[in-house]
Amino acid sequence: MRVTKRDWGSLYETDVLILGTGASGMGAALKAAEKHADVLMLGKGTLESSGSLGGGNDHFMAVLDTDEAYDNVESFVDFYMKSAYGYRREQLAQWHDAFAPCLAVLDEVGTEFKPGEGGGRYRSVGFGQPGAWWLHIVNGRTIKRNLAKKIRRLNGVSVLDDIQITRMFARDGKVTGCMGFNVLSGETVAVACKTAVTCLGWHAQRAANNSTNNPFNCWFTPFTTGSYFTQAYHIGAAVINADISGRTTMLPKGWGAPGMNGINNMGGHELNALGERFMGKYDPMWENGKRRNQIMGTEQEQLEGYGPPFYMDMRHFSPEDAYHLQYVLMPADKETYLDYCAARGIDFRATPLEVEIGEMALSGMLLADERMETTVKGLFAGCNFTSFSGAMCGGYVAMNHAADDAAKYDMASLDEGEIRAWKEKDEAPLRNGAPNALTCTDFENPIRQVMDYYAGFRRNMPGMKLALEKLELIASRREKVKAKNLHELMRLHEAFDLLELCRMHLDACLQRRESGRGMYKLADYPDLDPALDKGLVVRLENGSPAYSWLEKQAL
Amino acid sequence: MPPLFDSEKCIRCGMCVRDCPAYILELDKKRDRTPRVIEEYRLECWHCGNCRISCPCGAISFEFPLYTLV
Ligand SMILES: Cc1cc2nc3c(=O)[nH]c(=O)nc-3n(C[C@H](O)[C@H](O)[C@H](O)COP(=O)(O)OP(=O)(O)OC[C@H]3O[C@@H](n4cnc5c(N)ncnc54)[C@H](O)[C@@H]3O)c2cc1C
Ligand code: SF4
Ligand code: SF4
Repeated sequence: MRVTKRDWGSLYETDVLILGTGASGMGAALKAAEKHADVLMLGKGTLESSGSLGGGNDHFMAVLDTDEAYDNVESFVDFYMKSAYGYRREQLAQWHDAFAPCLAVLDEVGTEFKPGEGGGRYRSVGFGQPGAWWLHIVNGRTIKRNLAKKIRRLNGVSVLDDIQITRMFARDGKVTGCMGFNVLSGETVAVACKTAVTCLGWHAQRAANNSTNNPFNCWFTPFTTGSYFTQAYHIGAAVINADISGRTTMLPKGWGAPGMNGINNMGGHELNALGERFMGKYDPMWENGKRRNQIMGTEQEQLEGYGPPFYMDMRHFSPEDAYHLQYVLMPADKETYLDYCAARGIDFRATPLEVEIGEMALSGMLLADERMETTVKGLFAGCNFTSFSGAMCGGYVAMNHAADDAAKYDMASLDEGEIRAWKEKDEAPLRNGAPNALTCTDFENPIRQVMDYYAGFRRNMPGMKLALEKLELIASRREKVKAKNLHELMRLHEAFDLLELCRMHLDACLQRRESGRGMYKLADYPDLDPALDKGLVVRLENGSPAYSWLEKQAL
Repeated sequence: MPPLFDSEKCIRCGMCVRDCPAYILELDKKRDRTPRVIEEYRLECWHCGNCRISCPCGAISFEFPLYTLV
């Protein structure tokens, strides 16, 4: 890695660039060191705490290739090929192959797993999967810090914290780098690279509100707002299923904390207001089936008036299990869980936990070949796999190929005139003194106002078309925004990517005329269409979105 | 509320400020550099607990805001 000072800021040159320092970026950095690659990873926050892993995770999914049922690569690959779109068998096999090395690193940095009764690691079933693939982590609060300690010492890996990335660059269909600004000092940074792994986060938050109307009170990190999709899309990457990949979970009432995986897979019962358990109507595996079914089921009960309130009931657990869930797993999932419990007087052994349907987090995937290379040459997709395991292993797998391909290319040269022009534009809100200028919240809140109103769990085509027009109106005010400091400038840039992703989501939804594949239902197309059992691909062509369908069989 | 800081226990190391992914903490020059939440951005707290995980002195506690309790 080399850095030179320029009149506009600092120019970095690195063989491989990692965008984002969450779980996925960390997986990429670990693989880079194994391959002796020269890499620079940059992102917002610090490596110690950024992303969804920052405040803790309590489960890691891994197939361990034992004699147990479904504990093998074929079952794993089959499950994801059947239940998701856009994967290739070779990709999933590589995810599987990354379990062992990633677990070895987690062990090395001091991650403690709940032991199994007959030795080994305890495991449970989740998300409607056939095998017991979920390992329980007992000291999950500190995983990110422990990994960071290791990564900061890796040879060849440099870390640049506190950078809001505003865009990526490409030339002739090949990635060349990115630029952004330091959110503390304001310095502009640009990075030129040979290849890149994007790890900017699989989920985007702040597209919708939960019952508290505070977009930062959400389940995934609120500081990931869609850049994984929008920034790659702008340089030519194709995005898959920006429509149906949006997802949510059940939240503890009033609080954006996940943790349903632990509750469901240990056998929690969801109850409606009448104290009845109802999930059997919506999924043969009841609460521990597909999360989409739990949300749609709860939503249906709510429409029929059987809730709110809704509860997760753990009173039938053994005292040891209830204790393990509340006092070991949950605080590892979100560090402040027990403070919330104390404030609400929650004791899993004695009282059901009131829950609500969470806000929708938008998602999707970057279309990638069997080597995780996107439709932009030299740009590899680090966040295409789900969950903590998928993020860490996904970064690891993508880097394997990005590091190899760095040998194929010369160092890119960036157009400094272009960087100067973008810098001027990116910083313009700091100079906007117009009396009618919009603050970051003036600009961002209407995005959710539109999404919550027209794009909830029940919607229709005319409503989504109108929503898109309203998002266009918001976009037309982009030049009118102001920021009084770098903090607000960062929030504005987060909002710009969020707005683009919401537009991408709605436009994609308009292409798919059916209900039941995503987490929303269309009144005008209420049924599942078996002919649409395929991926929807969108790609920027001559400045406009171009759609195509990806047949499952083609994978 | 976002985090509360015990100025007796706090050694003013700034680690909580450094590791807050929301960038909403600062050392308060008027209160002998005890950290505080920047009032204007307090609703941006994710309640992730990163500040407390980073604190070497156990100086941070949480009081959950009213909007999360109803
Ligand atoms: C509290 C909590 C508990 C969870 N528990 C579990 C669990 O037990 N088991 C499990 O499997 N999964 C769990 N998950 C999910 C899991 O943590 C995530 O799927 C995973 O960490 C995602 O990692 P990522 O690197 O893909 O994305 P992210 O964590 O979102 O990382 C993306 C990074 O990129 C940065 N970034 C994004 N955009 C920009 C930009 N424009 N400029 C600069 N930087 C940017 C972000 O700040 C972030 O650091 C949990 C999630 C949360 C929030
Ligand atoms: S809980 Fe998280 S977001 Fe809130 S102040 Fe602490 S570190 Fe920052
Ligand atoms: S981390 Fe703890 S000791 Fe250090 S400044 Fe923050 S509150 Fe004080």
